[in-house]
Amino acid sequence: MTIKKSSHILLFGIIIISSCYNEIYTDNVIAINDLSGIPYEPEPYIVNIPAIFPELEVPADNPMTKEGVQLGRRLFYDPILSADNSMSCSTCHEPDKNFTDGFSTSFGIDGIAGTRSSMSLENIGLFYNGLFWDGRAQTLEEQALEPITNPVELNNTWENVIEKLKEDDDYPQRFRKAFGIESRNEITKELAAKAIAQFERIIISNANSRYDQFNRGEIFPTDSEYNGFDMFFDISPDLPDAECAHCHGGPLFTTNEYINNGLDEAPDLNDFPDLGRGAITEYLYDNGKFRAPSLRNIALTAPYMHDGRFETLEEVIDHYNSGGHYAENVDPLINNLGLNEEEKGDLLAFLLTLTDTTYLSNPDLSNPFE
Amino acid sequence: MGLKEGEHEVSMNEIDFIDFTDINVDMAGASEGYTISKLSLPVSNYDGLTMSIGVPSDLNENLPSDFSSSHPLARSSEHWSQWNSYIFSKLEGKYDEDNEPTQLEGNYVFHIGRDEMFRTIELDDLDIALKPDSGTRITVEIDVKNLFRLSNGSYLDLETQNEIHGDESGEALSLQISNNWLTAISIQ
Ligand code: HEC
Ligand code: HEC
Repeated sequence: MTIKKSSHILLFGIIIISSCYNEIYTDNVIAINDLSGIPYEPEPYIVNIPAIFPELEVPADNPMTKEGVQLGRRLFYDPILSADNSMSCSTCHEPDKNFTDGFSTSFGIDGIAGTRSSMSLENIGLFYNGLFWDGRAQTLEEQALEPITNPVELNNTWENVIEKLKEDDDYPQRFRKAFGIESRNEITKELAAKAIAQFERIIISNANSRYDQFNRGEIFPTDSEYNGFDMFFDISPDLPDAECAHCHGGPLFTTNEYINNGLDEAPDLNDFPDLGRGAITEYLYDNGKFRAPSLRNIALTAPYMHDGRFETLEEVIDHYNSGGHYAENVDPLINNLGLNEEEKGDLLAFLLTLTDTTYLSNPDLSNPFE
Repeated sequence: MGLKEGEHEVSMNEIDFIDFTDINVDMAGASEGYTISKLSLPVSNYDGLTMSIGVPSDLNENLPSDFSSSHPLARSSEHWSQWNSYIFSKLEGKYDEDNEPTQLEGNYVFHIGRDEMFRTIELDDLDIALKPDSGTRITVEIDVKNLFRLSNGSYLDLETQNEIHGDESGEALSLQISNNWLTAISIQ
């Protein structure tokens, strides 16, 4: 390992000072490797969180700093993380699509389709009940390690990524500024993951959608939007209850619970095509359960569900209205709702009031390579 | 929850979240139950136990976002914004609609909340002796059947009443189930 590493750096030296003697290369290797001359003075990064949202909890060993966020931002948008330099995190988590990719299921670098649909990263730092559709990662730091090696994602090895980061002209000084490392050799996957997690924690939306505005009494919703709101939150006895808020309630429009919302018929609990939560907990009654996603900006993240089976929100509403498919563990709130065409239209109109992309204008969220 | 010694009461904890979802799916799970551990209670001979179902009104003014994520009151699934209240108890399940017990196609969902549904259960004449440096187990039994009782002693017909509507009938059913908690709980 060590030998391979220094030979790369030697090559770098040769290009720059090809006419020098051997001894000088050696000096140069030390000079390049040693980062301690670069100041390490991280400044705290203050994340603006709307008052109605829960508090941002940050792990004690990964405080938010401007330098860490900027490093994480670069890593997030940089195809350097993939085996063939073709894809970055942002390929499947595009800001324009509210950090999803627009496909039913995502494709990795070799064009192989995965089995799950990309998830939005909006407000991801505020979700505390596990990550991924099945909750297999607990923290963003842990989560960020996975896409690099996942064959249907970046299909790389961390050794390879770290090697590329160490040889890079720019990254070593950024790791120094963010984490105080003293030499290139101290770049690790854990530090890279910490930086990415810091960046992900600033992906916080503004709570300024039409819904938020009428919730604060600043605007009047249309009649159709209001009826949809009423049904979403089961408010008035005069309109049917759509029950949505039981699972997609609260300021983030999700309870983050693992639930079977009746997508697949499963006479036996082992019959689900994707076991979801059950594959992680190995508990029979968790089979076919997935995390309820946030409905903020839901109009921007088609197709829908863990496998992207529904192209449109109309199809989603039809699914719930039908009462879904039988399995013993389908949530009892999934029932035939009896909404007529007008009521379905009203519910849709309400879902569209949850759109608000103003947060994307935060310059720290944009692609630094563009 | 609290322990009583005569008139004197020692609080065991401000609030706990008890979730039977993953336990109460078969007999073995139901009898294994759910364990809450309380540490460092003052040593004494207690003669009673109090237990409230719900969130006391002063705490019930809060929102889930007021608490850090590990706190029981941080769960947005247990707060119902239309009531401005936490959900005090959720009774959810399935029943057989067509007398073919292979599939349970009927669903029931009873969510109870709001200050007027808060109930405190007092269990007296108990003998709970806490000794220094040793554990004591108190087994509390919930007879779920009692939660489905009506005031005339008969049981709810789930085919006609399987959720709580936001009208007078819903209000009456909420009060009934809240009161049922008082008789559903006993000490084994
Ligand atoms: C090939 C497409 C693809 C790439 C590249 C990719 N992701 Fe994902 N991402 C997904 C899919 C698909 C899921 C859902 C996977 C699952 O649940 O099994 C996901 C889930 C996530 C989640 C969980 C979201 C939640 O709400 O739980 C986070 C966080 C995330 N990705 C961050 C990243 C980061 C950081 C990178 C780069 C290091 C990355 N992703 C690269 C497709 C991708
Ligand atoms: C019992 C809980 C529950 C109820 C009630 C519920 N949902 Fe869902 N919802 C979920 C779960 C769980 C998922 C993820 C399921 C999956 O992908 O396997 C989901 C997924 C969705 C999605 C797709 C999100 C995405 O990012 O792909 C939309 C849209 C949605 N629900 C809207 C609604 C609407 C509208 C209602 C009311 C008519 C509703 N839901 C009622 C639990 C629920």
